[in-house]
Amino acid sequence: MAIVYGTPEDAKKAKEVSSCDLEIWADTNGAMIDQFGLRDIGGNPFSGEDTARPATLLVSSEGKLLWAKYSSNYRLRLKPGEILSAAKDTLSKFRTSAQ
Amino acid sequence: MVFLLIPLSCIVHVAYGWMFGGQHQWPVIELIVICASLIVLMRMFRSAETSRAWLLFLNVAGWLIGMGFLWWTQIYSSYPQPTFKLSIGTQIVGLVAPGNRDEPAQVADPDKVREGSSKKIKLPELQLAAPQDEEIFLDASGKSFQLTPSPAPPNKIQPSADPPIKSALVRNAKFAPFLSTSSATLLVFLRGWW
Repeated sequence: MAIVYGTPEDAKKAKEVSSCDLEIWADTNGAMIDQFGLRDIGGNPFSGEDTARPATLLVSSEGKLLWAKYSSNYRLRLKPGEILSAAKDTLSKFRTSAQ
Repeated sequence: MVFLLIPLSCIVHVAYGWMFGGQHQWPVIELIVICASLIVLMRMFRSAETSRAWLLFLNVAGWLIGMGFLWWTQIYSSYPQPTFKLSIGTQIVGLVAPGNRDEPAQVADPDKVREGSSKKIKLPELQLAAPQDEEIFLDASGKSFQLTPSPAPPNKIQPSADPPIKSALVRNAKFAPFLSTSSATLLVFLRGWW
């Protein structure tokens, strides 16, 4: 589930640009990024508006935060392999402790 | 020609990151190329007897571009201190639509969960990129169907109690976003569409 700070049109553009299969949701007033502490004030290099800091979170089906990774530099992103590996590790820990 | 390697390194760095997402904290190769080019330019300037003004200009421009590149990669693109507010184990209320899960007792790593187990946050609603004049439901087999013209209110949509397999997932702007009914859901915050 991908989330972009902006209008539904921004989310639509993000989906088109990235060609991803995920649904992209729009956090229209930034309330969600504020909850997570991900607001980057004046982070839009073109308009100077606020943006969201890139972050990836893994949340259990009960809504518990299991794993989180946020970027310290917007050039640096997690690679799909890294995300999958982290998700696998975290979930296998889960299953082990659940048994 | 040597001078062109400097802006070219910057362009390649940006293009490679844009197209393949492959960027490192320290773009070592680009910095080596830039440094080598600057050294060659400086030596050319020192040994030149003609076109010294032009070579001086290229040197200054090369240094400016190189320093600008270093500033962008190491300072401008870096965020200040981490501002992430949640610790592992925090309960995020609002991500789970009522009755919308099929694995009732997922247990987290007890040590990590304990750290943030008392915290709870309530999330606001999000909007989907797609037009929002529809409600889409998935049945137990994962096949989608639509309710028209007057869909049931979200809070009346309940999964089958037994067995609690995927049912009645709802994708709608009126809803808070929901989590997958499988083990976990990955949330990815994007910086923007550009």
